[in-house]
Amino acid sequence: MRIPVGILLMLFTAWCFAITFNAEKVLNFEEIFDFLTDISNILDVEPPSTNTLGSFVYIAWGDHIVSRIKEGNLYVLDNEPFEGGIPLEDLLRNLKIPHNKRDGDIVIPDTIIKSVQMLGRSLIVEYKGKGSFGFKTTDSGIDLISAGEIFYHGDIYSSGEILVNFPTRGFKIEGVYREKGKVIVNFREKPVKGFKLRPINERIDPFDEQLTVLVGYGDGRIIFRNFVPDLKGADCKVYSETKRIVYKLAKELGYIVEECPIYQLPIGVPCFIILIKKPDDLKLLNEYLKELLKE
Amino acid sequence: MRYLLLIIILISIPINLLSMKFIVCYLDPINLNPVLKTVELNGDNLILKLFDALASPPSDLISFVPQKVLRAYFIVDDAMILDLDGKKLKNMDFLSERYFVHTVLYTVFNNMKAVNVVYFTIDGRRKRVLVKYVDIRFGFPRRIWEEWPIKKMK
Repeated sequence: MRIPVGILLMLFTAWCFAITFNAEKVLNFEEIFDFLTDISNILDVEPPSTNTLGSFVYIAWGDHIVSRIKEGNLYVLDNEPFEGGIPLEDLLRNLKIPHNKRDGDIVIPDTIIKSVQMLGRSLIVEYKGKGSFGFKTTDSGIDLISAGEIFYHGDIYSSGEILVNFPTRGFKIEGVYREKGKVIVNFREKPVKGFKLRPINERIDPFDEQLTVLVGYGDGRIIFRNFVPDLKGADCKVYSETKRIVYKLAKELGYIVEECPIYQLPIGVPCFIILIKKPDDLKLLNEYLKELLKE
Repeated sequence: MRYLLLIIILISIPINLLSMKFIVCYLDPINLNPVLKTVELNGDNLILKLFDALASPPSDLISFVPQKVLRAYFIVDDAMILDLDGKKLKNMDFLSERYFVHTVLYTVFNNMKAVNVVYFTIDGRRKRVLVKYVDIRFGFPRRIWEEWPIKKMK
């Protein structure tokens, strides 16, 4: 599903699903089961199961076991015993569930962000849970903003807090693609403004408005990046435009064309590598590129 | 004699039925153009045997696929995940790393029509690059590699 956006984009999942408990709360067997069921729904993981073994009743959740002697008051969480129930904080710590303490309450996040990365000109956020976050374009770039309780890099961010800022140098958001566990933000393409030739080992700035050509010496070959099927078409415009330029250039120079995802070539950015056959070709390359970019 | 002939025929039928023909991509050592050869493979683990064939070119051709490079493979829907042995790849340079990818993908897509995207993992893990240059964070689509991805422009 693609969602069109304006200059300012605030895309929130609207509701805050975070769970709040009193920090002093001690949970009994039924409460532990209900709590783990709720957490499983939020984190989108396998829910707990319960069973009886001899004189024990137990809950299995992931690799963890909570057991209790029937009609008794002794609880065992993995190998640690508790009398009369399990304090919420101990339960969260042992089960490695991220949480935050605020005003005497324990707040459990509704979203865990696993990774945020800029791939070429696409921002990709991978998460577990409800996905309660949004984006906002500012003068300095794009902000990733919490719209609930989000766990990211060891911290919990409440609604309205900025998790991270990416400098996008005036590029505006074109659309947001959401699927389960992943959000892809694409930026509006700008027409290529000229070109620049750089040594083959140089890093390419993904938000450079110029076409970047990495130049090395070799067998007369142009290498450009294929489109990435995982990006759902986000890089297709740049791919077809780069392919058009590369094929015309190769035809003029009599070079070989190769499609290969070289890591150094950012995804969705107009750029390619050229392996020059002889020094004179460099001058021709300049001339042909000037002509091609005029078209 | 008649019975012996019948027994030979009966034995040879299941062997022929089990064997399958695969197209394997090797390289011309002079210009590195692809050369396709048909090989007949039979028995279990046909994909492992296909990789053995990829790594064993005829004497007049070359291959950048090392022996025993495939550790395991998985097929999920229309995606194939090839798990490779990192130690077997570590000596590759810019050229051999790219041609390894091209010959493997070209061979896979020409033999397995149900596979539309291929992912590479190294020693059971997702990595950024195959060795040093080729990005393997994402899938490799059939649309590019069902044809040889290197073209000479005239």
